[in-house]
Amino acid sequence: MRITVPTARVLAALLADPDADHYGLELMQAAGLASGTLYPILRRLTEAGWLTASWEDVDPAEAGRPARRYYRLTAEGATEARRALAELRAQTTPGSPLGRPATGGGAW
Amino acid sequence: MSDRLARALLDLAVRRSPADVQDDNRREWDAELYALSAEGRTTQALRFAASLAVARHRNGPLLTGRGVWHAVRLIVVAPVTVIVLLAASLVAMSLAPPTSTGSATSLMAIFVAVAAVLLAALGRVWAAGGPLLRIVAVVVPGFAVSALISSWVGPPADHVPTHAMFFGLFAVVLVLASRLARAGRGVAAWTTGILGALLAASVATVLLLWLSLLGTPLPETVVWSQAALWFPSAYTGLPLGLSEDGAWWVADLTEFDPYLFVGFAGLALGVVLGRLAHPVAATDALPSGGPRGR
Repeated sequence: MRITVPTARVLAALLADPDADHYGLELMQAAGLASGTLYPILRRLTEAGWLTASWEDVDPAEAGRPARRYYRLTAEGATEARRALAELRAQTTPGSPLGRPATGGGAW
Repeated sequence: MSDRLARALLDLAVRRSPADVQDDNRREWDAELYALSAEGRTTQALRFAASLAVARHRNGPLLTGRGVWHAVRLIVVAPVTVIVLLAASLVAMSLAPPTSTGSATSLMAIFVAVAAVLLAALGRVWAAGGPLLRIVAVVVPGFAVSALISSWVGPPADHVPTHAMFFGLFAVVLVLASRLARAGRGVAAWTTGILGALLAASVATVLLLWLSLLGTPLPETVVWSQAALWFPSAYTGLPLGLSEDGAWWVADLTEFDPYLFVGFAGLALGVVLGRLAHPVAATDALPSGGPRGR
């Protein structure tokens, strides 16, 4: 999977609590991304099997609000996300043998 | 107002997202927008919806060729069509057997009324977007084109404020009519729209005469107490209670403007009231009494 800067931010936000359910607004704030950037990334990660999506188990009438959609890292997703972020870190560390300048519209 | 705009943007975002996930997207984004609105974070709610509306979705380019064409058709082609039909009415009038000036103007009024009905039908077919976007899509280009045409015919200092007044008032009328239509009150919506358009045209006509006669002595036959009759008289070419000289003054000063009002009103009513989208599909997922209702 192509890991862009915004994707890396989303993965980092998810890995901050890998076993928890996360919802869109929370991830927008944690990753510092706009909604129009975040949701297409979440869809891409879900299609790749890195995330599972589920609806909040809540009665809208009782809670006084609609149910949210939650995202959670899969086991494979957590492993791949850690690996991807580690590679990024290695590539961007000065003096690293893998280090090279980032190119192409923010894609690493 | 901002809540309605956010809803309209979210509606656009859902329609732009891939078809297989539209239902889930609507439910998910609606829940987040609801949370922002409930917390009174109006600006964030608008940003949330606006960002999604312009997002580049996978399998869905920023703007599809079809979407661009529908937007161009509504924003550019439709106003130009109004002008073409009004010009055709003018040509048809000039081809009619020669009669008095008044009866020629009455003939023009009939042609323009027919054109307005055709434009309403066309607007119904060409309508695109949510209720608020439709209003913006007809009011803004309508004002730009009609102000341009009328400024070409007469002094811009008189005509531009006149058309700003007409489209400003008419926008309010369209909002009210749109609400009635979405509440299932179609007849009330059309009645409000038509009467509101005539009222806006009357007010704009009074403003035009006031601006045109500013700083000059008022002709004795132009009486302010008869101002309500100026627009109908100018449009139909009939005195309708005005003196013959007064009716001539009014028709002379208003020039082409009454026809522009009627033509654009026909198109706008067709776009805004014709074939209205499903009221607000996402309301099903929400509890009653939430911020949506505000």
